[in-house]
Amino acid sequence: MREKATYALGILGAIVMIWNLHHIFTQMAPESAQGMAGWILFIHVPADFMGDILYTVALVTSILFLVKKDFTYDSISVACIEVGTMFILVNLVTGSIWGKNQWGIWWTWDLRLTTQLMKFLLYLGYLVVRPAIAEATQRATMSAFIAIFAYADVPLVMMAIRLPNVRTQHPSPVIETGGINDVAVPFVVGIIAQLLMALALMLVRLHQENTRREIDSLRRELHAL
Amino acid sequence: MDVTNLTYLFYAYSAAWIIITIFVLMLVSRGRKIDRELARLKALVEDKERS
Repeated sequence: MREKATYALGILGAIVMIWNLHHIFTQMAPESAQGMAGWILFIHVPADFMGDILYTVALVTSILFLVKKDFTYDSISVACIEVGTMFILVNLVTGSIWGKNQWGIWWTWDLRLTTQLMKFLLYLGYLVVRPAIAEATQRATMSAFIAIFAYADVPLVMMAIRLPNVRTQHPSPVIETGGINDVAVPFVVGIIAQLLMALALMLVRLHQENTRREIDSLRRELHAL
Repeated sequence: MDVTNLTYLFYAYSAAWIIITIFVLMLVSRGRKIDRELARLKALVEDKERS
């Protein structure tokens, strides 16, 4: 039942995302300066939101693990970070495609782009280091520390386009520049679609992590027999 | 309808779907591997307990 509900969430998310694309094509006029490339925003920005939301949850659960030593929190952390990193990759790739069209280059070492890449690499580091530690408590503790350390980059990315005296090519957020009214529906629907997908993927990953823990305890039981 | 830069929109959405699909396939494959391992270990424990 729980498994079916998880799959239903994911499929619903995919359907909402396709509906959103249909809505964009039938109800909206392309942005005057960017043409249809401007619509990349509806997948690029929600992907970053999802990454940041999941990383924030991972930060909280990592702290909770260090305080309470409950492995449930560690499972939630790794599930959130793995799915979040996938969304940040979507954000980086779609942003790069938009940049090629609007700036004529795939990448520039702009503060916003660089800090975002750093964020991706820091959390990728978490995912690479984690399986290398065999002992469960040590692995969870080390992972929690890395997750807390990596989160320092999240506010840095947010501030990268808001800091004074910093020149950046990255556009200002539509929410802050007053342009949200024109794009509110596909923007919000884009966030809902990705939220549903993120939740489904996170639950699947969480279930896998719990099963892995069961495997570990069975292995210990086998050794004891 | 003005279709300026439609190609880039197509590239971006395709890239996003490809990344999500690869991630889902990785999850499915890992899930199967974990389930197989769990079943194997459960059978081993049962065997050991019986003998």
